[in-house]
Amino acid sequence: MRLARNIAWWLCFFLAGVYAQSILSGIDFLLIGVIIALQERRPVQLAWVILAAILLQEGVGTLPFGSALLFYVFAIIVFYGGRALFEAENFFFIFLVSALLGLLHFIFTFAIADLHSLHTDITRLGVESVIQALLIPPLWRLAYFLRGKEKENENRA
Amino acid sequence: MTLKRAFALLVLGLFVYLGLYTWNERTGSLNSLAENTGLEIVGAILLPAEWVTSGISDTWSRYVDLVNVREERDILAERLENATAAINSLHEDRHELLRLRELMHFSEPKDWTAIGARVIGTRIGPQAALNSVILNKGFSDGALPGTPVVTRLGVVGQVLRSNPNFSTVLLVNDPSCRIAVISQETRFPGIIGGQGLGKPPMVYYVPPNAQVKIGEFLITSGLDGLFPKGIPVAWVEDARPSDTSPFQTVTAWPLASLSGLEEVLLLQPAAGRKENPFNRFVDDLPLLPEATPQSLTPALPLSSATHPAGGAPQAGPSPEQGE
Repeated sequence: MRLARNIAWWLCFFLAGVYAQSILSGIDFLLIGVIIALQERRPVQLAWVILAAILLQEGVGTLPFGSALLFYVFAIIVFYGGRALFEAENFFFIFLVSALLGLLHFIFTFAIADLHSLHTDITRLGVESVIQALLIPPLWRLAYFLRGKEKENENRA
Repeated sequence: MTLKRAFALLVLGLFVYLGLYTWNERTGSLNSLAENTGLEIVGAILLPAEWVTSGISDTWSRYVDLVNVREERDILAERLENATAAINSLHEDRHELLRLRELMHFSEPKDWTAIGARVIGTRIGPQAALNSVILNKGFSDGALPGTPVVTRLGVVGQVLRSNPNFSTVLLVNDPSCRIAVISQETRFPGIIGGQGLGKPPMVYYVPPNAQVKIGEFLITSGLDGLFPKGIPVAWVEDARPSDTSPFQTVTAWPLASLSGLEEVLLLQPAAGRKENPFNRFVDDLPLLPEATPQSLTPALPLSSATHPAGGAPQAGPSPEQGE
C-alpha cells in the first residue's frame, strides 16, 4: 500500500512537472523531484527518479544526449557539498544551491550546444537560468510540503 | 568520506561520463533511447491535454463565439469566388507550361504528398535549447529527420528528431536552421538561417551585384536536397552592402506565423506517383463563366495576408510573427 501511494505520488509529480515545463519553456521542474529524492535518502527511489528525469529531459530536448545527465550529477554534488556546510533547512543553503544550479544550467546547456556547433540564444538561456534559480526555492518548499502531507497520510495508514 | 576519496570518485565519474558521451557520439544509442522513451512518454502526457484544450476552443469558437460570422462568411464567399476565377485564368498558362516543358525535354518536378500533423507542444524542458515544436506524428507516419514542415503560408522548419509516434521540428527562426532559397522575382540565391526569437532570419551568401527588391518573396530553391522547389519561405525586409563581408546583408521575415502554430503539413516525396493531388484539385475547380478582369484584381489570399505590399488590413508580419 505504501509503495503504491509512493508510486502514485511520483507519477503525479512527473505529470505536473511535464505540464509545467510545457507552459514555461526552458525551465527544469523535474529537478525539484531529484532534490526531494536526495533529501529522503532512499537510494533505489533516488536512482529511479534521476533515471526518469534524465530520459524525459533528454528525450524531449533538442540537444544531443549528455547535458541532463551532467546537470543532475552536478546537482547531487552541489546538494551534498552544501549539506556538508549548512543545515538542509537553512535559507542560505537553499539560496546557494538554487543559484549554483541556475549557473550550471547555463554552463552545461551552452557547452553541449557549442560542442555540437549548435547556435543557442545566449540572452534567452541566461534569462531562463535566472528564472530557474529563482523558481527552485518556492517550488522546493511546495513539493516538500506536499510530500510531507503524503508522508503524514502514510504514517496514519 | 575523505577528500581524497571524493576526488577519486569525481575523476572516475568524469571518465564514465566521457566514455558514455563518446560512445553515444559514435553509435547514437543513448539519443535513440531518450527519443524512444522520453519523447514518447511526454507526447503521451501532452496529447490528452491538447485534445481537451483544442476541444474547448473548438466548441467555443464554433458554437458560442458566433459574433460577425455572417459578415465573415460573405467576405470569404467573395474571396473564394475571386480565387477560383484567378485559378481559372491560370489554367491556360499551366497547360502551356506543361507543353513547353515537354517540348524542351524538361524533367517533371518530383511530386510531393502532404500529411497533416498537430502541434502538441513547444520547447519543453531545459534541454530544448533550440526553437522547436513537438508534433503528434512520428517516423511511423513518415516524419523522418529532415522532413520539410510547412503551413499553407510557407515553410515552418524541418523534422529534427522523431520516434514512432512523435517528432520534434526545428523552426526556421532558429540559428541552427539553414534552408536553401531563391528570390521569386530577381532570382538571387541564398541560404536563410534564423537569428533567434524576435529577430528576422538572415539570408547568407547573397552576391553583391544581386538586385534585391524589398518585399519580394523568397522561395525554396530545392538545392539543399530536402525541400521541394518553390515553397514560399519569407519576404525580404532589408538588404544592404556589408562592410566586412563580400556578400550583402539581407534580412527576411518568415511568411508562416511561427507563434501559436496549431496544425502543420509534413511533405514527403510521392514515389511512383504521376499526378500531384494539388494539381487535380486545381483542375477540378469549375470554370466561372462570369469571371472578369475586375474579379481577378484582388490579390491572392496568401499575399494579402502576409505580404507588406499586399495592402490588406494586416499589413505585413510584425516582429512577433517571427517568434
